[in-house]
Amino acid sequence: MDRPSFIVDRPSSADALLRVEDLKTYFYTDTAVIKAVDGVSFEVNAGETLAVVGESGSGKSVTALSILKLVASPPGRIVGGRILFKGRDLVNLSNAEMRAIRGKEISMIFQEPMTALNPVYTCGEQIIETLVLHEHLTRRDAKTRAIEMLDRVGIPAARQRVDEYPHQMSGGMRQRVMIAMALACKPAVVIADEPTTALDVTIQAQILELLGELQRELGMAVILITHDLGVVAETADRVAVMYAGQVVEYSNVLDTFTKPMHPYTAGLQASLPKLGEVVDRLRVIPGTVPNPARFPVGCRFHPRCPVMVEQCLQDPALESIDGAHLSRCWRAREIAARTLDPAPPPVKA
Amino acid sequence: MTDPVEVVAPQSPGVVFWTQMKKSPLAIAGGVLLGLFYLLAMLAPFVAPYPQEEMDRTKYFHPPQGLHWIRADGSFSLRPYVREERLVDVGSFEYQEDPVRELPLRFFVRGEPIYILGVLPTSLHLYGVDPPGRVFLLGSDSFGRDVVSRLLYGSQISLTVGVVGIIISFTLGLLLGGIAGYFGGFADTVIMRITELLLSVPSLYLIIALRAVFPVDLPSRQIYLGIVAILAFIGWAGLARVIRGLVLSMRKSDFVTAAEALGFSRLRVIARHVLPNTMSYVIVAATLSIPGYILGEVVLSFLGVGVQEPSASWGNMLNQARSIRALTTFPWLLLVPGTAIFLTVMAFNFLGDGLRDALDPRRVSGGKA
Repeated sequence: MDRPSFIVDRPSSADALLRVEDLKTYFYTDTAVIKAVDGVSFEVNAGETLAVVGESGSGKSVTALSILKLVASPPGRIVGGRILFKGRDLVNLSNAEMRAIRGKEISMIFQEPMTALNPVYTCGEQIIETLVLHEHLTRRDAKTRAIEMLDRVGIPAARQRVDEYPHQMSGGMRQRVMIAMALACKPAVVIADEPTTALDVTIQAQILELLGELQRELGMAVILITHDLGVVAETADRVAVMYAGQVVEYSNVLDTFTKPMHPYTAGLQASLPKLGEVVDRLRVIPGTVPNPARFPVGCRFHPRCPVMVEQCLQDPALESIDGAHLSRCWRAREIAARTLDPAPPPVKA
Repeated sequence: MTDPVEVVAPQSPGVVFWTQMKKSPLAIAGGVLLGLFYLLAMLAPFVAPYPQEEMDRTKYFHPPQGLHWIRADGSFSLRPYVREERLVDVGSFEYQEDPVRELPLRFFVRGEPIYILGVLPTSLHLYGVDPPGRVFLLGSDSFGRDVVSRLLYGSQISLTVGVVGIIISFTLGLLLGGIAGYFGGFADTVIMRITELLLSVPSLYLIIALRAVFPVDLPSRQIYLGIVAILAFIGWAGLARVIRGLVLSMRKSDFVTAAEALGFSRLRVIARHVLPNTMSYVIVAATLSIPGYILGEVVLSFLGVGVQEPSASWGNMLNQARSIRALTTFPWLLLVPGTAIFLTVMAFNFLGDGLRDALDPRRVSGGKA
């Protein structure tokens, strides 16, 4: 995939298509306040792909749902920050105003094509319903558009398949239908929440390729949520690495892989097996993801960090280390200057 | 990516449903039987030889008459006939056949003026005998009223009480259960506490207590509506709880979030995306709960607080067969409405079981599941 380099080097701008600033989404349960998203910032522009990477429980999906304001409330609530879309702050919009944006301006592709399609309606019906709602088409025109969309996402014999039910399709086909549904109204931003995790590896590549094609065609911004670094390397322009509800590193994709500036990013990469390398055991980041009800004080990664120092007991900020390359680490400058190796040591057998 | 792929013709849910239904002959038999019963109920004034309240004081506790084809002289008659019977012992209500007095059964005879389906005026009846003779194919009751006629008129009440009842109770149950499950919180708490209150009172006591609210001597139409209202009022609570559970489990499912992410309003999500997914359960539950309403009407009428004489219902027909004497001497008073209730309830249960199997998504074939 071609990756125009000018995008990634551009400094943060106020006129970005979608700009998330210091977003905080907390869940208020009976026993604790769970800070699922606690100060997330990023931005994405038309035609650009932002990958949001992190382990399970790092707050990726809640970030995505927060942008659409679909976090179940109660117990969830957006308690701080701004979500600027085309200059408007979504946090302050009413439900009715949000509904006009969902599906039309910002839409979402879900992880599980098996469960994200309504089993009682035909695939076509679900696309038609969206088109009738947002584009005010007649049902007949909407059906024609639905068939075009299904055809566009590579469903063979779309004219017949439009009347099929989700259970009659394979996982890959259903994910194509999901994509057709999400893109039916030509949204400006598409949030893809692990769109390929539930699919076979061969299908994964096809789906990513399709998303890329459609993105170029429609000029949309894509927020790709994933834990798969391979997918990131292949598709993203920019990467936001999330850990414990925060963005810990934010840079263009090349820098993320060639010169990570946060020990967590470095650890993630070190834990990937490399082709041709013979090891007894894979490297791992020691420890586990912290409980979101009781995050460690200071840097949330410090209990697992191989290069932790006393200063790490205080909160680091997400700072620019090298132009548009941001890191939330006290020792990022040392790492950038390559005077410190942040990767976890190999496990002794 | 665009390799030619073999396209299987889409199997609509209707086709899948029929394929499954065909596998359970009992359910189909139940459905056919119910269809017949409801048709008979609709055409009751035409099929019944007499009005439901018409009495013959000389022919009380008349036993069912047999149909005969062989005349007294041994010759064959294509037209079936019944024999005139006379009361010979007033004490034991014993009737004796008169082998000579033949009453040929006539079809499409003129009789009392009636309205078919409530609108079509006619005096035609499906069958009858020449007056002054009377035909009692299933016997007569203590007032000399024809049991066939009362059974047919009674079915208009007994068979519709269930259908009207579930329409009311399921509307309530779906709406309130859907709201409780989808919105949760305060609405959920209030609705669920109300259902618990309703469910915690023994239903028979509740029925009788609610019946006491209405005056006893209402016109029969109002009593009928009262019974339906009482039964529906009791029936919605259980359903609302199940629907709430189904909606609650579905609210977190991806396709509901997906529908919300496409910009649909909450009520639209409930009505178009959540509740239709409970339909297979609802159809089965409805079919299986109709017998409860039929039996509820029977109980009320049996207790004498339901449909009042001289209007017939299956319940107050049974009421006539309460005594030991009725069981031994006039068993048809028990057996006729009893069999009708039994067959109807069984037919609904078989149909309900068949529908459950046919609508169960795990049984659906023909697609990758």
